[in-house]
Amino acid sequence: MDQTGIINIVNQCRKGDSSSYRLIVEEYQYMIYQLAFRMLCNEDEAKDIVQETFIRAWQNFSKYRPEIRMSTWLYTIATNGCIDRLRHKRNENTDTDMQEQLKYFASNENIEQHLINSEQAQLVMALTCQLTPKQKAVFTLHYLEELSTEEIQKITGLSAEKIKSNLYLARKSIRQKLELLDHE
Amino acid sequence: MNKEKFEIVTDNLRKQHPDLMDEKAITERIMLNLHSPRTDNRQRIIYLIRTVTAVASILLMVLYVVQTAPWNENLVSENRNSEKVLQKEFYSRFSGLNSKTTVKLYREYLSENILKNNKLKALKNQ
Repeated sequence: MDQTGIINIVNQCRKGDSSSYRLIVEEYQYMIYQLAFRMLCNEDEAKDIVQETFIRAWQNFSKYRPEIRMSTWLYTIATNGCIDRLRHKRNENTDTDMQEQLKYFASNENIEQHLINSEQAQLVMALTCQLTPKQKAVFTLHYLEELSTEEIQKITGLSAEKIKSNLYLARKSIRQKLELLDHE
Repeated sequence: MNKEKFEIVTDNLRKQHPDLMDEKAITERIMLNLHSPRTDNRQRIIYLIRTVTAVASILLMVLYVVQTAPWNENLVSENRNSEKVLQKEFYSRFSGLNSKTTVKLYREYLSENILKNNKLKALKNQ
């Protein structure tokens, strides 16, 4: 869907036409789900975030500016929702099976094997459980969603320097984790 | 060595995409909840809280400005000065007289005041 098409849909949504909004939901639903899943490492919570994100977006269409990409705007709402949830969550311990899986994932390039959702979640959790909510958000957006620093700036509202420092700390923590795995 | 591992693990994780089985059901739930009274009410409550806090903060600001304004200090000092003048007037009228004269004069002073107060009340009622 191109930006002109999105702006037309947004204009219709502002008039209260919810049937056009369905197109936006269908287009971006999976993208938001994937981000939330990778950040929260939980399928149900990720689905809740998807729902919350699209309802908030619908309620705040008046604040949407056409110069911002729809994906960036939705990412912003979803990331804030995920950070809020992560702040209220305790760090969960990773089990030893996952550490083995992580070792395998860290030593073999181009693994074609597709993991089921719970395994993916545990794997990401094993890797990122030590990170703060902001570090986790920046790490997920940069390394897993492959977004640029400018886009992460727009999404998180953090300065380029803060993004770099959060990425540095995230990398450091993950590297330490991988180093520990080698010694076990 | 570790840098390599970090890149390998992030690359491998990026290639993993979570499955979303009930995509259509989620879309329907979102569409149903767009106009649900629960979300509308929540929105209204948020607006109400925002309005009340905004009004309260504006009132506090106005109160602060009024209290710290220089003309307000002049007004307060004027009131204090007039109170002092009245007190001085009272003491100057009754000091230095014996108790009997004082009581008599005080009674007259009070009756004068009553008359003045009644006049004031009448003016206010008009």
